[in-house]
Amino acid sequence: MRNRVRELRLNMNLTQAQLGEKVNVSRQAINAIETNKFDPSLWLAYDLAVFFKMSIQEIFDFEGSERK
Amino acid sequence: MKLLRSPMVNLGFVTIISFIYSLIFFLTSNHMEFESILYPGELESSVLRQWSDFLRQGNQRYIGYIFLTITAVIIFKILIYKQKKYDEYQTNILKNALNIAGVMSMALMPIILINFLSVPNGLLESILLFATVQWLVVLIYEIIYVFRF
Repeated sequence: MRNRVRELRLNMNLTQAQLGEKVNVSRQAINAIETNKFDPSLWLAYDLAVFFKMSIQEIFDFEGSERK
Repeated sequence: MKLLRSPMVNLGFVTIISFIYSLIFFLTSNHMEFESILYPGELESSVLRQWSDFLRQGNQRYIGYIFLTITAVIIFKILIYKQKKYDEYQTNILKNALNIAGVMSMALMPIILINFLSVPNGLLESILLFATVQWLVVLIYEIIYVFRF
């Protein structure tokens, strides 16, 4: 699913590994989310939203992505 | 799904299945009774024919050694380097390995039945060949997995 995770992470000057630590996932998981290879669970999307202080819809582009 | 999050569950699963296959291969290697239930004539399929000769010569023990060696590397890698649980992305990738094995298992029965009905010989050889390929694919997937994560 298309998302703004990379953009938001870079705004905060974080590496993928650092963001992964903040939301308790691996660097590979963050990389897979950023490159649209992996759709996170609702809980991980929630954790990311809480971390970035945004809503899930503001981070993940539901409208512009294909429903699975 | 929750179970798969633990590297120890992965380790236990791989170890048990590898151990069972290796035991079968070691016990049947050069075993007279096993050789007597292999198809005595010449099989039509060249792959099965070569595989049957391979089994008849007792070479399956080498497959057992290969399974045990790969499993030992997987055990070592997990025990030494993997202390944390897998996250949801890693669990998802691991689930894919089980899906591959599952699909292969589901395809097994019709393939063996068609083989058996069309040429009713070499049934044991077919099952052993399939089991070997299936578990080797899973082990290769697993070893790539443990080195990646």
